[in-house]
Formats: sequence, structure tokens, C-alpha cells
Amino acid sequence: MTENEQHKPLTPTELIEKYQIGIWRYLRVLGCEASLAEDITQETFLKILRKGFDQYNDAATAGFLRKVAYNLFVSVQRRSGRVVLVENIDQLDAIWDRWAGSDNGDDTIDKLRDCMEALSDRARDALEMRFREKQTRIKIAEFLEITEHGAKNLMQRAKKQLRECVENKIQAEAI
Amino acid sequence: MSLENNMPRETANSNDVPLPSDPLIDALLEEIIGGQSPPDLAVEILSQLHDTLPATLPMPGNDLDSILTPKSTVVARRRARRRSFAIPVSMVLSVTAIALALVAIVLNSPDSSISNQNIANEQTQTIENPNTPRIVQSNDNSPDSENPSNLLITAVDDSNSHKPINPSNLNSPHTSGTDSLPPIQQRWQHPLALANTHTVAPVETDVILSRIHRELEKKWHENGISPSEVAVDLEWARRLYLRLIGRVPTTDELDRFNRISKQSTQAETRQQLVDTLLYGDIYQTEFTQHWSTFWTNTLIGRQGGLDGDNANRGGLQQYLRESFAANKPYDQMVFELISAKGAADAESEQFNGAVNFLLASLTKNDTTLATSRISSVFLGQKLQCAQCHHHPTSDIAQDHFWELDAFLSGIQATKVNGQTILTNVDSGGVQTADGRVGVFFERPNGVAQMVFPSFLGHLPSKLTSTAESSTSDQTVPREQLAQLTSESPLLARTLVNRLWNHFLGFGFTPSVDDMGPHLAVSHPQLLSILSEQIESSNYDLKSLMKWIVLSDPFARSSKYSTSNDIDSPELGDQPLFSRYYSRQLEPEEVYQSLLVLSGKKRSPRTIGQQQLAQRTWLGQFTKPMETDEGDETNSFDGDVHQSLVLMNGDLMKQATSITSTSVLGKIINSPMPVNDKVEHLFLAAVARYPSVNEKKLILALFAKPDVASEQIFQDVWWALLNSNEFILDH
Repeated sequence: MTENEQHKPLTPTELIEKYQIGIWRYLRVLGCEASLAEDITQETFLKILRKGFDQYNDAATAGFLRKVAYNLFVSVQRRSGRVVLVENIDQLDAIWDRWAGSDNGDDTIDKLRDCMEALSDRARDALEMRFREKQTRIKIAEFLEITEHGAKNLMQRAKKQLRECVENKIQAEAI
Repeated sequence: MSLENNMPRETANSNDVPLPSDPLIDALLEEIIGGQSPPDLAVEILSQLHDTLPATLPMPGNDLDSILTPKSTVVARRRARRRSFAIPVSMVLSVTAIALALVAIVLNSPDSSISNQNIANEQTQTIENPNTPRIVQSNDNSPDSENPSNLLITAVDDSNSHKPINPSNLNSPHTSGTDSLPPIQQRWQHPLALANTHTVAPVETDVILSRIHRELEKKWHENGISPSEVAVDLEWARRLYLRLIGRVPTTDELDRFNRISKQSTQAETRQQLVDTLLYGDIYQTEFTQHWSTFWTNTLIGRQGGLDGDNANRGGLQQYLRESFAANKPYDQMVFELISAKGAADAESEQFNGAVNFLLASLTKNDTTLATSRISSVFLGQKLQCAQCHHHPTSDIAQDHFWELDAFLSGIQATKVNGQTILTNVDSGGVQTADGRVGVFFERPNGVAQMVFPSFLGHLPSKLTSTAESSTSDQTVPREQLAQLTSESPLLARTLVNRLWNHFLGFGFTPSVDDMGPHLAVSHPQLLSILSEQIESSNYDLKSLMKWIVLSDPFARSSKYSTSNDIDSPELGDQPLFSRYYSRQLEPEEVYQSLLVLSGKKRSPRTIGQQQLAQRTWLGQFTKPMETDEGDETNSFDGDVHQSLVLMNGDLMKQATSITSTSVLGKIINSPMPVNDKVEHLFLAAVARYPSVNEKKLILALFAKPDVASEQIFQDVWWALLNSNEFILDH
């Protein structure tokens, strides 16, 4: 018996509950605003549930849903006259697939939380001002008493450190 | 090629190597730090799918039909009932219109003058006596008219104007001409006043939430706006505690909520907290206390039932506490409040706390305030102005107020052995020969008129069948009124509007006490949906609360942007509920919050004493205005008095004291590092973490060697509790 034959198709409710968070996060990774990600996630499921599709296995379903979501996102961007900056979608897709794992990225979120503990106080302050308080780079720079470019670079380095930390944790688990 | 190479790059200064931005990390940081959690869209998707669903889905193992069938059946039944209800009504109206047109043609013909005279004579009976007021009784027996019989006492001779009216004269009127009578006009009747047989099956909470979202979304789309972002968990939790149990959450409660949120989805976590606050045993005391206070204020104001009054405020609160503890249906409570008989004080054997609602609304057996409160609080009809004149902007006439007041004509408050007893007596009002009881009122032109009980324009004859069905004592008008009010569809609409306003800052109408036909409802369909559902849910108040606190607008951030800045009901516009509207806490909520932060223990046994202490504290801010409407002044609106009491009062001293039970004491004495202690102070006061700048400023204080750390924590805590943010629900 092949894997495909063993795979039991999910009901619409199960399908939505299983994949909606992953699709929403994937769209956010593409650069989608939170509210737009919500709309496109809904539209993605409506589209595939209305038309129907074959469920071979979890990976194929997740990949198919991401493809539909991506196409809808591009379509929305084009209608609003914006340029889609993400060029290598296959690569992004592969990375997100690895990061998301089988739990829509919940475990990665926990890893990222742990990694934040290792940041310097200044770097953590800068990221908190940027992401929690929505402060501009100028404000962050003023607070940290550095130049605007310095603040920008500090945040980029912090994010790079976080990225590497998460990657290392994922690889360590794989081994 | 790595992913980074394909990402847009940001330039750095000349000393730094340019580094790429990282969309993966950015998105996840916005979730972790920014609080933008993934939403649960299952219900919304399934609901939308249902609207456009083909007969069968081309998917194996599809359970959608089984999920959606009950909902579609309910919808179909509702539609079918509406059709079956609408067709006969429209047919009846059409036939009636044709009949009236034919009558008009006959009456306007030249041969109809005799008929006119006869009809006019049949409609009125006048007592002519030059020495007494001229009393006119209109006697409209026309089956098509809903006009109650009226007695008019026209302008009287000056020398006799002070004479009391002798009701016995009314029993033997003789017929005369009708030249001085005003024309009989079509009376206004409230279309939603009476209960009808149109019922709706209850549906699941998820379906109701989906309908709320859909109705709001329509308005957002019409107005071209996008709603605010979803509020972060801590922000949402603070407002939930404030709205459901009337105080801010403690740090322990927020920690517990945070722990659960890491193990479940956002929707599950939030629903769990709602259920805990609504149904959990540990919150029952606070829940009943908060809602008994809310309803006491709504029913009799903040000053009703205090010293010098017949009523006992504590007695009403006790009745309400017991009712909420038993989760009594709201319509049953309303019936009991209007029809209650018994003693006001708990010491009496005849004690019935419900009587205190009417007792606090009576002035020496004058029932006008009681009538005003019943019509506005339970029915959403502000009739006070009609007490003296016709409503200026609607069809509500002076008669409507006094006809409602006539139901209360038999009410009497007496003192027996020092106890105030509320009873019904037969001698109230004016009794006619046929046994009906009415009341007099004076028109603006000096004409006194007598009216009989009528419910927002609907005749008693039409009410009898309703009253008969469930009350054994049909002769008591007050019980008829209680029955009519508790069965009226207006009761559900007013309740929904009131609670929506409580939870979201604005109702569907500018004033929750005034939902008259002259005022537009912002979301009529949504109001109807929720009203029908609460009726079909047997007026379960906790269900209604749950629907609202789990709804979309309650979960939105209070911050607005250019995408929804036109949603400004504060400026008088209709609310669109695209964001959570910030507002100042009620004084009771500030009191309870400070109390819990001071570490005062509360138990069900001492709840009466606690409410007494709270009333004393609140007495500093509210004073009665002695108006017919029972209005009160409230200085808890950000003025100097409020600031001084809050900053320097005993309650604030208790809340900022360092004891083993106070929040401040616990945080200071904990082994946490200073940074965490500061964060906990912010969490306890405003349910958020300090900003980086705030933290920097505070931590800098600890660097000063000559100031004790306890003093710094105490100062920070005092500043937080006196901040605008603390007294705002946002």
C-alpha cells in the first residue's frame, strides 16, 4: 500500500483548522499586512474548497495551499499597482516549509523566543521599540544615542543573529 | 543562491557591511513582540462557504454538509416563518386600506351629513354643568380604532377651577353635541411593543459571532474603511476583566493567561478565559457584585434608595445578587421588578428586595418617575418629555406616557411598624362604571384628560389575552404591565443595546435609554439578530455577554489609523465598531481595581459591607439633581475633585502601601530582579510591558545611591495608578 493510499483526506473543517495558521504565517513572511493575510487566508480556503482538489499527503496539501495563497497575494499586489519583491519564491517556500515543520511554525516561534534571550540589551531594546512600540528608526536612534544608520544596522545584525540561532536549533534537532 | 540575496537590501552607514532585511524573522518578530497572532478563521470560512455552496462538494470525506445543515435549516426556517408572517399581514393591510378608502368616499358624499353627525354623537359623551368642569368621555368603539376611551375635562370656570373632580360624575354621563371636541386622530402605536408568535431557533455561538462580523463588515465596506488590528492578548484580557467583573486583572491572572496562551490557539485561550470569568466558581462573587452594581445604577441611579428614601438600596442589590447568582432569565427579573410586593428591608419577614426598584421611583405614591424608568430602562422608550407635551420629533403623544402610568395607579407604599411595604390597592386612580381604572393628566392648554391603561398605544382589550396566559391575578394592572413588558420584543432590543454599549463604549443608538422611532439605529440587522437570539435563548444574560466579548469589535485594538479614522462616534457620528472605543472607567471600576491592588480580601459574607463602603466613596462624586427624571450629577469625569480624591485619598494610600498582601508589597518582596519587578508593576496597573524608554528612565532612578529602592517602586506605582492610562478602558 502506498503512502498516498494510506492518507485519509481531511474534511473541510479539519483542513482549515490544520493549515490556516501556517498559511497566515506564510503570507506574513511574504510581506503581507496582518489584515490582508487574514483576507487572503480566507480566500485561499474558499477557493480550494469550492473547486475541490486531491489530497495526496500533508506536504503536498500544504504546498498546494501555499501556492494558491501566493497567487492570490500576487494578484492583489498587481491590482493595487505594487511590485512583488519576492523573486525566488521556490527558495522561500522551501525555507518556510522547513521552519514551519508539522506544527505551522509554533515550535519555531518558541525557538525564536529562546534566541531572543541571547541578544544584547541594546539590541533587544531596539527590536522591542521597532516591533512592539512601532517606533521609527530615528526615535530608536535617539533613544540609543547612535546614528539612524547605526540603529538600522544594529537591528539587522540582531535579526541575523536570531536567524542563525533558529537555524542552528532546527539543524541540531534534525541531527 | 541564498534567500537573503533575493531580499531587498537596506543601506547601512559607510562603516558597516550592508545587511539584508529578513522577511522570515520580521514576520515572526511581529508576532512574538508585536502581538500580531494568527486569527482563527474556521467559522468565518465555513460560513462564507455555506452562502455560496454548491449542492455537493467535490471532496472526499466531506463533512461540511453535516456541519452546515443545522445552520441552513435554521436559516430556512427563519425565512419561511418571515414569509408566512409577512403575507397575512400585508394582505390584511391591503384589505383594510381598501375598506377605509370606500368608507371615506361614502362619508364625503353630500348625503352623508346625517351619518357624520351620528358617528360623532356615538363617539363622544359630554357632561355639561356650568358649575363643574366639563367632562367629556370619548367612547370609541370602532373595531378599527385602537384609541382608548378618553375622558376630557375642558377649560373650567375660574371660580370652580380648584374643585376636585368627582369620579362619580363619570359614571352617569349624558350625551350632548360635540362642537368643542378635538378631532379624533389616528393614534400612534409602537409596532414592536407587543409579543408576537414569531420565534427564532437558537444557534451556536460561532454562528452568532460570524453574523456579527458579517454585519459589521458590510458597514466597513460601505464606508470604505478597514478595521484596526486585533488587540494583543494582554490588552484584550484587561478590558475583559473590567467589563465582566469590574476590575483590572492581577499579575497572577495575567501570568496564568499567558501560560495558557502558549499551549492553545488564540481563539481557544480567549474563550477559556471568558468561560472562567462567566462560569468559574472563584469569580462568582465578583461577577454578581459587579452586575448587581451595574443594574442598580441603571435602575435607580447612584443615589436611589439611600438615606431619606422609602427604598433600601442594599435590598435591591441583594435581590440582584441572588438573581445573578442563580442566572435568572432577564425577562423574569423584569417581571419581578415591576410586579413586586413586600417589604423593602431585609429584616422584615415580608422582605422582597425587588420592591426597592419601584419604591426608589415613587414620590409619595406619585408614579411618574417609575413610569419613566420602566419605559426607558426596559423598553428603550424615553417618554419623560411626553409627560408634559407631545414628543417634539416623534409620534409619541402625551397620552402614551399617562396611559402607561395608568398601569401603576393601584400602587401604594405604606409604613407598617417602621417597615416600608409596597402593595396594590383598589382605590388607586379613578374607577368608571364599567370597572376600568384610569388616571388624569393635564394638557398644555389646561384641559384635563382621563386615560386608561394602554401599552405604547395598544389597547387593553388587545392585552388581556396576553396577560391571561400567565398571570393568575389579571385584575391588577401592574401585573399586566409586568407581563407585557417582559414579553415585549422591545425588552430584548433594549437589553442588547444596553449591554453592547457597556462592552463596546457605544450602543446602536446615541442613547441606550432612547431607542424611539425618531432615532436611527446604526446596525438594525445586527440588533435584530442579537435580540432574536437572546429571546430564543431564554434571556440568558451570560450568553449575550459571551457573544459580545468574543465578537470582532471587542477584540480590535483601540488604536486607529488613516484607514478608519472616520469611525468617530465621539464626534456624534454613528459608530462603525471598526476599533475598540477607549473610555474612562466607571468610578465603581476604579474603586474595585484599587481595592484588589491594595490586597483587600473579599468574601461573599462581607459583600454587603463592601458595597456600603463603596457607596460612601462614590458619594463624593455623585449628587441627585432632584428632577422628575431622577437625574444625577457626576463629578467623576476628570475634574480637579476627582484628581485630588484619587491622588490623596485613603483608597490610594491603601493601594500604594507596602504590605504583605498588597500587589506592591508582593512585587517588592519577591526575589525577581529589578527589571522584572518594574515589568510586573506595569502589568498590574495597565496590563502591558513598559516601553524601552519608560524602563530606561525608571532603571536610572535605581542608580541614585541616596534613594531607597522601596521608595522608587512606590513612586512608580503611585504614578502608574494616577495615570490616564490606568483609568481608561482601552
